Formats: sequence, structure tokens, C-alpha cells
Amino acid sequence: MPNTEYYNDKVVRQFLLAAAVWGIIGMSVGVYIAAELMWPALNFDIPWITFSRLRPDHTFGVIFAFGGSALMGTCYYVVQRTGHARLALGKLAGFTFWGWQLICVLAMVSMPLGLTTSKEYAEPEWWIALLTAVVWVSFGTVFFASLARRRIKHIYVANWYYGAFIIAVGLLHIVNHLSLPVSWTKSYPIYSGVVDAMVQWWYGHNAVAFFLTAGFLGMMYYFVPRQAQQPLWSYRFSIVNFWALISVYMWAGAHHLMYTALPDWVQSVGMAFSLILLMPSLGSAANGLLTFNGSWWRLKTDPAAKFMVMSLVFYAASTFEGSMMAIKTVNSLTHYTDWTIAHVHSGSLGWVAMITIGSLYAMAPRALGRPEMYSRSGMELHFWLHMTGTLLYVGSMWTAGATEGLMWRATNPDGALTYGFLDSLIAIKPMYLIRWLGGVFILSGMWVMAWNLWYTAADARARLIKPIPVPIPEPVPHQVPAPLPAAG
Amino acid sequence: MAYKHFEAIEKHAGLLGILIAIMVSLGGLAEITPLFVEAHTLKAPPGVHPYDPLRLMGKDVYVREGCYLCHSQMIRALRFETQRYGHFSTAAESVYDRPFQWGSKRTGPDLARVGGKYSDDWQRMHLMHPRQVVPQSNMPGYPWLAEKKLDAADIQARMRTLRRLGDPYSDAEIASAPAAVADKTELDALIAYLQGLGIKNEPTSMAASSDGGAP
Amino acid sequence: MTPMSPVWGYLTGAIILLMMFTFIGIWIWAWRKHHQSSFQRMAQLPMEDEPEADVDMQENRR
Repeated sequence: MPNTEYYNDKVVRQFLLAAAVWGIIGMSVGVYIAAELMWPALNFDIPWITFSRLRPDHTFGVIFAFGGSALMGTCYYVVQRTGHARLALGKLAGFTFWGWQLICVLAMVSMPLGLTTSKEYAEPEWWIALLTAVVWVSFGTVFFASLARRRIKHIYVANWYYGAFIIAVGLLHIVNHLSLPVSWTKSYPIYSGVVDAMVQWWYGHNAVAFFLTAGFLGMMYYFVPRQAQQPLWSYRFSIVNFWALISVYMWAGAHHLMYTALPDWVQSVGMAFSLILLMPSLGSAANGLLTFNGSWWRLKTDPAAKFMVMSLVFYAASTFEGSMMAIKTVNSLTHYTDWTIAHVHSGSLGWVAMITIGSLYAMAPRALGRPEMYSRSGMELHFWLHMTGTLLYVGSMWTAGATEGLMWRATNPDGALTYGFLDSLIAIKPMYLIRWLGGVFILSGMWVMAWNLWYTAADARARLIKPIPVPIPEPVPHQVPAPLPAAG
Repeated sequence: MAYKHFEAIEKHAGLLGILIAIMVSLGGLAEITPLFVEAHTLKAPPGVHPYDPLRLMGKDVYVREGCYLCHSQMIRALRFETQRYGHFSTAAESVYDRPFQWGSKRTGPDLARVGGKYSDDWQRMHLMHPRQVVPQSNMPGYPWLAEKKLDAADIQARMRTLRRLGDPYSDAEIASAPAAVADKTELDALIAYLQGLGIKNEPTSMAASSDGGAP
Repeated sequence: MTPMSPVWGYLTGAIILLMMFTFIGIWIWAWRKHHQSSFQRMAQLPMEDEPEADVDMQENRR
């Protein structure tokens, strides 16, 4: 039987392009708001570029527009490759692309205009949230329908993570957004006060767990072995980690609300589970890193592998840090300070951005019909720009956070507070400058990546690339379910 | 290979999905359901009323401008916090906060009990041009708030929506809202909101001993 | 805040115990001998997306 089924890489390429564009936009906003904290004159008294209106644009832009596009693109790539089958429901997959881009544009425009729910990482107003739910369900439908038509008997572990990411994020999004609209521009949540706080941080924490961790672990579990050219260090360990991670993460949300008006027992449960969470987190990181055992030499020649290894190191470090920060006494020092900002960015710039960039560098040539990226030295340059930027950023914000935490609690021998609040702001101003500089390094790296992708995509732009045929495996006797014949 | 029960999980996408949904729901259920059920028994203590129309608009301006990104409204039960900001925050104080405004980061100080600490004029000048009052501040100015008058019909719609969610606004209160906000700007509303923080929502029992209180 | 009903504590405890046993069960399941062959096959999947692979396949078919 002739093979006439091809992988659907068009939607993958679209998401790849979108990820590169949103990455630059989201990080540019980040660099600008970092500059506003250093030089407040940059607010120019213009409402929509004022820090407090723009910050949700930075978080939404990098998490959902950049990260979301990268996750959906790699998800579609991985589910096809690990199932040896073309993506199901091609038109619906196209809709998820355009729908997601529409949501990103609407959110990025409406938030600076003052349409916000004020729930962090869930700021877009109710009608954008509704649209998000529709696109998300479509995304889930395409993904699970593609899994259903796979030709490989078992479901590869990366898909488990992608599946958990889709289901949990859908659940979180809907529960946290339940609200009653007043008009197109304003709605009130059905929760209030302490319940609203708990629901919001259950969402906020698990957005980190399932969007920024489970989703990107899916990426990691496929692209790390692919780039190392050897199988996972332990496949069965990855399965144990999977169930542990998804069931434990959900319990830990309360650590965002230590010493607040939240009941004590909820805080304690949150702290205990945050410590248990160390095991599956470090387990996943170790599994990824040990996969490189025996092919460490690739780091010398392959910048994509370098990004992946560093991302796993940052993943291990920042989840360790996160669990430590969930210990009540540590939390009393770090909470509300720039330490939180340092922690978030060691996770997002170190883990999330690096695994994404590494995976994009691994996937792009294949999806764009080229043997490799256009410029290897461009990738190398990007790696060092990104590393430098991340270290400057995280280092400066750690310093700033520790300074704030210690100054806020310092007392004189007579028991009076040593410093006014303003003293701590003045003390950390130099750190804000270094943080901004780190951001500039990272953003420059993203421009290098965009340039590199543009030239790698030369064939795709000229419409020269051929679709890749699906390698249809020989049917195993008594295989249930039997492999599908190629779709005409 | 013999067909084993457990293997069904990794061979059937639908089953995998359902099991994932169950596993991820457990944590939320165990922690949020009790809060949710108990919250219905948590009545607003005497002395805490829903926001009056002007302060309600001020709160919504506070939300719209994103003040929560740099200012928390949650004084933790720690000595150095209560020393700096006043009595620690209690759950009862935020029963009418939709959404809650506890915040997660202090680029500026906590505002849970900022009401009455500064004069209205200080607040007005500070919101318009922060660095004229505090030269080293990095807070943005919000001069456009002084130019925009409040819309009475909009406020009534908001109060009605809140009533539908369970906040006890009477017909009379909603009817008299336009008079309460006549000729007021968004800046007036925001200042009224800030000046009420920690005063208007403080339970009466606590107001008697509001001079600190160790954890 | 009024103290919470102790029922919630028992419920949380029961769920945690249930999760622990499930976790141990998954561990035993994953380490069973007869899974090894399928796990080994699955672990090979990421290496099957190489340009050379489909060149071979196309040649075989022609």
C-alpha cells in the first residue's frame, strides 16, 4: 500500500512563527516596564503605557502568547510523531491557531485600556475568557482525537503531560473565571474575600504547575531524548513522576497566602505538600539530565542541547527554591519582596524559556524542511545572551528581595522599626538597573533567534518544502487497537 | 502480550484523560470545598457594610489601574508587619471585596489600613504627581483620573450586579447612588476608597483595640 | 473566624491516604518485568523523527 498520509506541519509552523513574534513582544513589554520601575518618568502620564496597566501585558504576553503558542505548536508536532499518525481534525486545528492568536491580540490590547479582572495571570475580561474556553476545548478535542487515531499501541509519556496540561488548565481557567458581567468592560467574580483569594491562588499556583511545568515537561520528555539521540534515562520513572506531580501540585497553592487571613490548617497543608513536591520535581529534572549521560559531548557542538541542559538545571534549582520559599518562616522573609520576582524569573527565563528555545531550535529545521538551523553561531550567541541576561536578572532580584525582606523586619534595640518603607526602595534602586540590563540581554537574544528562524524558513517562505510522510509501522499480530490504514 | 487491566490507562486516551481529571481535582476539592462551605457561615461582622457608591467606584478604579500589582492589602500576622501597618488583616474585613485585593508584591507599602493616615489633599497631590510629594518614589502618576466624571447609571448597574451576587444593597441605596456621586471624579472616588481602607471595613470589636495587637 | 468542622480534616486525611496507596500501586506497576519491552519500545519514539528515516522509507516504496 503506498504511503499517502503526511504529517500536518503547517499548523506547527504557524505556531512556531507566532511564538517567535509573541516572545519578542512580551519580552519587550517586560524590558519597558522594568525601565519604568527604574525611571518612572517613562510612564509619561499616558494611561495605557503606565506600569500598572502594562504589567499584565508582560505576563500574559510571555506566558500565554509566547509560551502558549510554543506549547500548542510542539504539542501538535509531538502527538503526530509519537503516534505515527497525522493530526486529527485539521480544520479545527487551524481554528485553534487563529482563535488563540485572536485571544492574544484582544487581551494584549484590552488590558492596557483598563479592562481587567485584577486576578493575576487571569486578567482578561469575561468575554475574552469565554473565547479562551472555546479555543481551549477545541485544542483538547484536536489533541485527544489525534491520540485516538495513533498507530503506536501505547501513549508516549510526553503526551501524558500535554494531556494533563490541557485538562487541568481548562478546569482552572473555568473555575477561576466564574463571574457576573456588569457590561462589556466590567464583571465581578462570584467569589469574594478569602474564598476568592484561595480560588485565585489555586489557579495562579496551578497555572505554574500545569501551564509552565506540565506542558513544558511534555516538551522536555520528547525533545531532550531526541536531541541527546538516546532514550530517556528511565521511562518507567517518568511515569511514576507524572502521577506524583499532577496529584501533589494541586495541593500546594496555599503557600502563596502564608500568614494571611487564610485558615491556618490550609496554610500548613499547602506547606507540607510544597515540600513533598520536591520529589517529583527533582525526579523529572534528574531524569532529563541523566538522559544526556553518554552524550555530554553534544553540548560542545549543539547549542539546542545546551539550552536544554541549562533549562533542566534551572528547573531543579527553581523548584527547590520554590519549596524552600513555601516554608512558613522563609516565606515571612521573601513574600511581597523582589525575591518572588527572582524566583518566578529563574523558573520562567531559566526553565520555561530555555526548554522552549531549545525545543524550537530542535523542531524548527525539521518543520521547515531544512537539515539544520541557518546559523549555528547565531544559536550560540543566543545561548550566551540568554544565560548572561538570566543570571543578571535573577542575581539582582535575589539581592533586592533579601535586602527588602531584611530591612522590613529590622528593629532597633528599643523595638522600633529601623527603616521606613521608602528606605528599602532607595536601597534596591541599583538592582532595578541591573535587572533592566538583564532584560535587554534576553530580548537581544530573542531578536537573534527571530533572525535565525527567518533565514531557516527561507524554503518555507518560497513554498519549496515537501510534506513529511508518516512512517506507518508494520502491524503487530493481535494488536489492539489495530493500526489505521493511511487516510487518503 | 496478555491484556492487563492497568495497561488500559496508557492505551486509551479517554481513560487517561478522566484519570488525570480526577487526580488533579483532589487537591482543589480537599482545600477549597471546606473554605467554600465554611464561607457561607462567615457573615459580615457588625460594622462592616458593603461599599457605598463612591467608594465602590473608587475600588473599581483601583482595580482598573492595577494598583494591586505594587500594593498589597494584607497585613500578615507578624510583629514587624503589625508594627509598620497596624492590626493584622482578618478574613471578615474583605467579605465584600470582589475581587479580593490582597496583592502579591510590595513595590510600594501595604494599604490595608492606609485610611486616615494622610489627608485628602496629600492623597490627591500624590496620585497626580507622586514625586512632588515623595521625590524618591517610583510610582507612576495618574492625572487622568481627575478629568473623568463618574457615570451614575454605570454605578447603579454595578450595585445591582453585586446585589445579585449576594451583597446586601437596598433599593433605596441604589436609587440614591446618583446623588452620592454627583460631580465627583474618578480621583475623588479613589481617594474616598483609600481613606476608607482599614476604617470603614474594620469590625467594631476590633476598632476598640486597633493600636497594634501582636499575632 | 469560627473553628471549622473536624469532618474536613478527616476527609483531607482520607484523600491523602488514598493518594499514597495509589502512588505505591503506580510504582509497583511501573517496575513490573513484563512492561519492560513496551517501555523500551516507547523510549525509542523520539529518535524516529530523522530526515534519513523517511528517505529510506520512500526508497523502499518506489
